[in-house]
This record gives sequence, C-alpha cells and structure tokens, in this order.
Amino acid sequence: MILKWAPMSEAIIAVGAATLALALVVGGLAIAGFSPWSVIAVGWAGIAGSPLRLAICAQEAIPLLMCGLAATLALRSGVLNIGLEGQYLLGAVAAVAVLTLGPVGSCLPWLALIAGGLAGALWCAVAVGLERGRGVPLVLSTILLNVIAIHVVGVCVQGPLHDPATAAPQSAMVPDGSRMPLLFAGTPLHVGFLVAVMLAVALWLMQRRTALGFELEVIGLNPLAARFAGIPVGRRELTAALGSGALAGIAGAMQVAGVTWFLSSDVRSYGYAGIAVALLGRLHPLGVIPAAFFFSGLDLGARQLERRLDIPHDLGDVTKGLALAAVLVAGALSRRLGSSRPGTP
Amino acid sequence: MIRFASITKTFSGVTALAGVSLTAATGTVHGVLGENGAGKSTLMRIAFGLERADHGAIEIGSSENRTSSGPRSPRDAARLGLGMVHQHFTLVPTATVTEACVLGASHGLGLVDHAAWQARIRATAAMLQWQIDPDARISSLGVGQQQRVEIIKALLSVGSVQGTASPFSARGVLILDEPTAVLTPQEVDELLPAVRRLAAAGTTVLFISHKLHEVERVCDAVTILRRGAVVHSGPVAGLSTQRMAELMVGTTVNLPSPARQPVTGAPALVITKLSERANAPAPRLTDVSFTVHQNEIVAIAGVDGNGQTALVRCVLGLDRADAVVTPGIPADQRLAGVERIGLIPDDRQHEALVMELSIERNLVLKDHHRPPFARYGWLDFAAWRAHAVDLVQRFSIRGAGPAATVASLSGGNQQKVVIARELHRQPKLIVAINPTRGLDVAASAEVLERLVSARDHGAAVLLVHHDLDELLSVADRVLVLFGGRMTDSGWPACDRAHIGRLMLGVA
Amino acid sequence: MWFSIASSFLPRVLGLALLMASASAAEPAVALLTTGSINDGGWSQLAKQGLDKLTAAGSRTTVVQKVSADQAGTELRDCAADGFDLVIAHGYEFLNPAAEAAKTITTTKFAVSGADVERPGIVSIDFDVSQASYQLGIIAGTLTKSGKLGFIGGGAFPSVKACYRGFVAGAKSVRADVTVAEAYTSWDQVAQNKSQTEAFISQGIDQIYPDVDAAARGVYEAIKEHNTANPQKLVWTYGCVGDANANPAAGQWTLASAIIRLDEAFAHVAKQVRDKTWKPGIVRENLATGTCVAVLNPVLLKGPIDAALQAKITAAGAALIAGTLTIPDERPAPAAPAAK
Repeated sequence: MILKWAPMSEAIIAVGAATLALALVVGGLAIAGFSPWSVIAVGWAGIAGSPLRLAICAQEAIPLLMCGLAATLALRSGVLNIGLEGQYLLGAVAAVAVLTLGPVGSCLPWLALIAGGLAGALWCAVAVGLERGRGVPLVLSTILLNVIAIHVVGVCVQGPLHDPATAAPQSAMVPDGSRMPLLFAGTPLHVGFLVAVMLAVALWLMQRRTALGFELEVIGLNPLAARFAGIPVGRRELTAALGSGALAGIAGAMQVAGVTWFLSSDVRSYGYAGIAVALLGRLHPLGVIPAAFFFSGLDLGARQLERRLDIPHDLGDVTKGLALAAVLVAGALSRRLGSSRPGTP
Repeated sequence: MIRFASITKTFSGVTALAGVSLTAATGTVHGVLGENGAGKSTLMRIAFGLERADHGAIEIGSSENRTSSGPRSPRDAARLGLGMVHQHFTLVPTATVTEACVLGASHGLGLVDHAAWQARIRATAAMLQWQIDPDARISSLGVGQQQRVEIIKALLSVGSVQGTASPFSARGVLILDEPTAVLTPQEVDELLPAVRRLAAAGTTVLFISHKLHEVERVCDAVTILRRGAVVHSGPVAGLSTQRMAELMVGTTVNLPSPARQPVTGAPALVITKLSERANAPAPRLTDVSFTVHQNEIVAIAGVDGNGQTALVRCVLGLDRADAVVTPGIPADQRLAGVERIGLIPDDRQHEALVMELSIERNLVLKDHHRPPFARYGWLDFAAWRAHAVDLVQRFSIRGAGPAATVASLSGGNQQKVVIARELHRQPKLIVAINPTRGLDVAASAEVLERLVSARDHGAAVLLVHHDLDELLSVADRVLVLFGGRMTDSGWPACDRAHIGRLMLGVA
Repeated sequence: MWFSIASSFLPRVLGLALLMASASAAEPAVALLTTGSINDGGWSQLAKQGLDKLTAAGSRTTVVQKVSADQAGTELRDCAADGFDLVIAHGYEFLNPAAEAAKTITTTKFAVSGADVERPGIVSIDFDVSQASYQLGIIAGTLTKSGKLGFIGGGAFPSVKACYRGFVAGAKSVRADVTVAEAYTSWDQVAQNKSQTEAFISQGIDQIYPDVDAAARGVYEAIKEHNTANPQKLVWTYGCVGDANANPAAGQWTLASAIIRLDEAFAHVAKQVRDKTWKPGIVRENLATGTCVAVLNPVLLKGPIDAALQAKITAAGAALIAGTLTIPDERPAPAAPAAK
C-alpha cells in the first residue's frame, strides 16, 4: 500500500511469464513427440526428486539470488551496473586468497565473504571512478571490466594463487576446516543460503523502510527531481553501485567458500544470469528469491532431461529466455495500460 | 503560399490558439512574432503535422491543398510542400551532409542514388550562394553550417516527397523556427540574405522570431501573436520596432499592484556582481547584482534564453557562485537543509515531482529523512500519512487521496503538491520559475495568490516568469534580463511597454 | 524445427533403451563430463568420439556437456547416483571436484583426463604429446626452406610448453640452425589465431605448429589464403591433439598430426574397471603406450614426406620409446607463475 510497486500484479506478471515459457517449451517437446507428462515428471524429479536434489537446487540458487539482489539494488537506483560478472569474479579471487593463503579456521569463510564483498565493491568503484573522472558510461566500463576480470582470474590462478601441485591454471583447494559449514549434513547446501535469504529480506527492508531506500527509489525514478530535492544524488548512486558490487562479490566468495572450494580459469560467473533473475523477479528483493529458484530449477531439470530423454539441456536456457522476454513484454504492456488509466487509487 | 484559417487549439482546457488566421503570399518572407507562450510554436507544430488543430484549416500552395485541422504528420506536411527547420538541430553528428539529407527525405523502398543526391545538394547550395561540401561530416561543421544543412535538408525533403527535382517549387513553404537564436552576428548577416534568395526563388518562408530588427530586415510582412490570438498582421514597411514591441507585449496600461508598504524586510538573497566564466555559452551572465528582501516579490522578466537558467542554478546552489549569498542558508543547504529555499521549478514533472510515486511520498520528499518522518534513517509512514492528509486539506489538492500517484492528478493539482511541499514550512526565500506554465486561469490565479500570501507572511520571493501580465500583477519590483545583463525597470514607476522594450533589447 | 528434432531424437531414445537392454553385464557403465560442447570440433568432441567406442563395445554410456568447475561436483554426484561405474571427467578443471566426490563416493570410480597430478581416490590420466611433437619437429626441420618455424599455443600451460619443446628438439635434431617462434593465443578465438598466423607468415615462417584446439581453424584458414595466393612459397602446418590431416581448409598442406587417441585411453581405464584392476593413481599416456602418436598425412607420403624422412621419423620414435632419446625437460619449478 505504501510501496507503490503493486507487488501483487507484479507477481502475477512474473509467474504468468514463467508459466507461459514452460508451457511453450513443454508444448514444443510434445509436438516433437515427447510425452509432456514424462517431460514434466523427469524434469521435476531432477529438481525435487529427493531431498538431495532439492538441496542442490537451493545451492545453485544461492549465487543467482545474490547476483539478482545486486542487480536489483543497482537497477532500482538507476545505476546500470552490468559489471556483476566481473565483480563476482573479483569476489571469488579475494575469497580464495583469504581461504588458501591464510590460516585454517572456522571464521575464515566469513572473513572470505567480507574480502569478497570488498573486492566486488572495489571493482565497481573502478567503473564509477571512470564515469566520474573520465566520463566513461557505466554500462561500457562495467562490461569491459568484466572482460578484464576474467583475465585477472587467469593471472591469479597461474600466479599468486596457483596450486603448486599441478600445472593446471587453478588454485589450491580450500582446506576442510576453512569451508562454509553445511546446512544439512549429506547435502551440498551450505549456510550461505540463509545468509542470502537474510540479505534479501534486509535489502527489502532497506528499500521499503529507510530514508536511504526512499532516496534511492526517487533517484531511480527521477534523478533530476532527486537533485532538486537536495538528495546528494552522486553519493547515493555511489552507495548503490558499491553495495551492488559488494553483493556480487559476496556471491563469488560464497561460491568458492561453500561450493567449489577452489578457483580455476574455467570459473563460471553468475553476473549476467543475476541481471536476468532480477528482471524476472520484477526488481523486488523478495521476488528475486523465487526467480533464482526458477533459474536453478530449470538448470537442474534440463540436465536431467538431457540425461534421461536426450533432450538438449540448452532448452533450459531457451525457457529462461522466453520467460524473460515474456516478463519484459508483460511489464511494458502493464505500464502502458496503467498510464492510460490514471486515477488508480 | 500558406494560409491558416481560424486555427483553434486547446490543451486540457487551456487555450493555446484562439481562431488564428494568417496568410503568407508566395515568394514572401512572413514574420511570426510573439512572446514565449504566445502560440507561435503551437501554430507551427500544427502546420508541420506534429499537432492537430481542434478547429480551422490550413491551405498550402493552392486551394486544392486544403486540409482541415492541418497535416496528419510531418510526412504529410512534406507531401503538401511544407518543410521546417527546428530551433534545435536534428542532424546525426556522425553522418555526412549527403547522408543527413537522405535521412530527412522519404524514398519508400527504393535505393538511394548517392550521386544524384550530392548533385541536388550542390545545386541547392549554389542557388543560395552557399559553399557546402556534401561529404563533410556534420560533427565537423560549425553551427551556422549545420543550419544551412538543415535548411537544404528541409527543402530537399519537400522536393523528394513531391517528386519534383527542384527544391524550389512554387508551392513550397519553409518554416524557420527562431533560426538566429544560436547564430553569431556574422552568421546572422549571412543567413538573412539567403532567406531573401529563397523567397526570390519562389519559396514562401515563415520566419519565427522575437528579434525585432531581424524581422525588420528580412520580412515582407509580419503577424504578431499575443496570448494565442493575432493582434496585428500586415506589411513590415511602416511598422517601427517600437510599435512591434508594444504589440507583442500589449499596450494595456496595467495599474501597479495594490499599494503596498515600502520594503522593510531584511535581505534574503543578495547577489553581487555575478558573472559566469568567460567561456560559458552565450548568453553569459555578466555583472548581475540585485537583492531580494523579505516581504517583497522581485520578478525577473525576460524572453526565455537570456540567462534565466544560469541565474536560477546559481541561486539554488546547483552551480557554485560566491557572488550569491542567502543569509541564514548555507549554499549546500539551499535545496534540502532545514532553512531551505522554497523552490517551484520550471518543469514540475521532471524537476519537482516523481510522477510514479504517491502524493504522500512527493509531499514528504525533502523532509523524509528528518523527524518526525524518519528516526535514525527508519521511516515512520504514519507521520507521512498525517502530514499528507494535513497538506492535501490545507492546499486543497483535489485527487484520489494521498496514496494516489501524482501522475493521476491534473496539472494544477500537481503544482499544488509542489507548492504545498515547498511553502508549508514558510521558507524565508522562495524561488518560483514560470509557476503557472500550462495551468488554466483559475489554477494560475491560485498559484499567484499563494505567492502573494507567502510574501505577506514575510517571505522573500524571486519570481522568474514568462507571462508579463501575471508577472506585473504580483511583482513589487521588476528586473529585466537581456543577453545575460540585468536592468532594473523601475517598476512600478514605468509602463509595461518600457519593460517590453527592455526585454527585447530595443530600449 | 520441432519435427526435425523429433525425427532425430526418437530413434535415439529407442536406441538408448535397446542398448540398455543389450548392455553386457561385464562392460562398465561409463559417464563422460566435458567442459565444452561435444560438437566443439576439438577436445570435447574427441572425448565424445572416444566414448562412442565404449558404447559400441557394449557399455551403457552418457555424456554431460558444458560443465563448469562450479557444477562439476553436482554432476559427478548425479552420475554416481545414476549407477555409473566409471565417470570420466574430461579436463583438468574437474580434478578437484572429482577428488572431493571420491572422498564420499566409493561405488563409482572417477578418472580425470588431462590432469597431471595424483589425487587420492581417483585416476589422473596425463597425456604427453611432446614425443609425437618431436617427430613433427623432424618433418619441419627437414622441410623448412627459410629455417624459420612457428609454434602457436592456446595458453602457456606446461602441457602446451612440452609440445613446443618436443617440436623444437625434433627440428634442431635435423637442422641445428632453425629458429622456432612461439606465441600463445587462445583456445577459442579463431580470429586471433588467424591474425597470429598471418603475422608468422609475414616474418618468413614456413612451418607452423598450432596447439590451439578447435581454434586451429583460424590458423588453417590463414595458411589456405596465403598458399592459394602464393603457390610458389607454400607454408606447411600440423595438427595437435585431434587428427587435422584432413581438415577442410588446409588439409593438403597439413603434413602430420600429433594426436591423443582418447578412445584408447578411455578403453584402458574402462578395462581396469571391468577387470577390477582399477587403482587410484596417475596414468601416463605417451608414445610408448600408443596413445599419443604422430600420424602422417597419407596424401603427402608420396610428396614432401618421402621414404627417407619417414624412416627418420620411425627411428626417432623407436629411440624415444626405448628411452635412448629424451626431450629436455624444462618444466619450470611448480610454483613459478606461467605468464600468459
């Protein structure tokens, strides 16, 4: 009511888009001769067929959720941080440095998260600095810094972080004692999941209930009015950018501290996926949670379909793309309908 | 030839044009004069197909080209033979001259004959006695050269749509919208003879301006608009610039506002010899000095674009200016500090309001981080709601309640939201820029009453306003900005014609 | 589009069912994890072809492609849960995830192909192509006119450096004054490798040995363009890891390929699992094991690679296997950074 984002209709848009995308893909497979029921059954079994698989689904949702939150924070404030990919990688590098070069201890993973957050924020600060100092648009600099970040990872895993035991470009393993504790024994789900959900709630409260959140919302909607209202737009945008970079950096740190336990030049980043998750979550911190699960579930389900039914798992990515396209179109349509119908209370 | 017959246009209840008729004969240059907001732009937008008239008809070239309520689109206008050069250029900087002209024309799905276009550009330039390299990049050209490209582009677009090889068909009409606004005096001296040559070649030119001596130099006839109506139409010969100025701003002798007590308040805004950097774009503020005291409304009159924007930015602290002193308000606190300036900006939808947010949220903006609206950064929405209910009632904002979006409000009520937010704290200094723009008569009167009442309660008001009548009805003193320099008109000890001449630089 | 997918999938689904029914109980079920797509025309596709041999031999198989190190743990666990006896994780990237998985999973064996270190509980398969590269170097040293050779690696990894060293040693063994320029580009940037090749050719280099996986297409295209324009000044090339002797762009100028016979390597570990002789450790595949060998281009055997040259190559191979000939090992101290 206070927050004028009409969360209910937003949720309907997002869920509708996801359902439509799934229906299109399953329908297409049905035309191709696959029984839709077996496709759904096999896919669902891949996601939730056992407590273990459910835990894997949640574990894969963590980096998506974190990067989704990072994108939400930035985009809601009108900061076009497309550099989550690189900020994630820098976070992972910093975390691996802390975890493999430092002492062993149960507080290490938490230090690694802090280091990862700082590294992500720093990487974003470089882009902001380029924009403020040299007039390089943030969209461009962040994309280019993504490319540089990949090479930073490459240099680090062949240089200072390289595992001396192997010639391969990868870091040493994080010692058992320095890993993120697991949430349930016997599953790969680590406590970072709880941290990510708590951060989502915290971000939601920040946006909804604090002066900072209100100011960021105003800046995102109308930066000129914000300036004329005396809001220090530049400083607030910096806050949003650094916060977004930090969240992406923490995401990278969580992944190495809790899932992979090492870093190689083949590292996967979730930055771009995070932007997609945020858009599907309608840029709402709590909407990002189901969106992240939707993406990770599609990954798992599609891989299961590939293994069991020989359906290329790329169809999972096709489904994501369709859902995203549908949600953007629906969002644009609802805005148009909304604007032609003023006076809604 | 172009003939406007009884064109009427209203925007949400505000009459912009009231039965305007105007005829420009073939091969003449016809000036269209008027203050900002007199209706010149609206009339030309209708002629060019960007707006549709509510009533009336336009005839271009001959009576078979008569369209009721104007062309349907710029392309339709071009088909009828009308081209327009906008005040703000529309060229792609990275394109060449030829590419820019090709872009402006229409050629269905056909291929572009580059060589033929270059030949056409050269021929057109030759007739106007201009040197234009068809392969030059737009970005490499100066402003004057770019304008020539715009003119050639407009001429060729008409020719290409009509399928005639020559851009100078006898039916052609070219609208030049304030063509000299961005030019140096030398460039103006080069443009005006070219305009005459265009007319000599058979094109009818509508020359929009408020620079009287240019109209005098280049136009055969002139139509003067005031408040959406024609106040004069006839040949330029025998019409002095003095007379034109009087016609533009009106000769009605307005009595000075009701007798007021002499200014006694303390200074709330002191500006001492404010000048912009030497390399600032023209018009550069030069040695502007004045003081606004409490209990007075100081109005700045002037045609748009004579330095008002820069002056306001300095006053608000958006641009640093040590020459501006606001006693009691530190420069960085002028917008949002506790002792802040009450600001009614020019463009309320972009500069004052967040249209997507509710009335309540817009009303609390600027105070949202202070008690009782927030404690330690944590927002108290109950206080927001109480605040909104109070202001909606006190400032009679009519809408669907505090939770409705500002976008759902009428223009007048949107402005009331701004005024409620800015004036409820009874600021010592109020800066209002065109506060009645786009409002109907009743809403305008209400806004002006609010300013007067604030003045009567001790506020110092700096009013920058485009409507001279409204300005004179509330101002205690009137200063005039022309070309970045400020003159005290002496109002109320002078008549409005004097102010009009100061505004146009012909005093 | 869907119909074409249907027509290609349905037989595969049916075929899978038939295969599962007919799979001999003795042949182990094998899963393959690849980093790239199995249509990448390189490393991952070769692995798929190796797996296909096991399928033909009667094993139940599956392939999981485009797996990153992040997902490897999940996929390895999944394959174990699906009852596969052996998981071949094809790429050094999978070494750590496989070692982690082996800590808790005992029913499934894990082999990491392309890994050069031992880890408890798993088999690491190390491929040494330097000896076959030595044989290629003999060809290059013999046939070069300018005395200038070029080597392009996808990255300055030790396994790539070993190929370089073997190639240099082989060339110098027949002509001491040759020079070998080395450059390290990328595994997947075709254009980058093409421009590097053009740079080499402009320096007068007439023998180019690329070890850049599927991106070698760029090398071959550059050579084709040059040789078509300059038939009197031919540049010759080679293949590495995969057999490039019949590559469509420059097959007629590809003298030989130093190949890894992944099917052999995979069959070795599968056999160990079947025969229950499997034991963790490192398996070194090289010329002697018949897995990493040089294959001469059959269409050029009557041309540049004459009988005398063939004899030299064979003799060197025998000496390398016998150990009477060794390639100088300049493997840097492990901790030293390998600059890219």
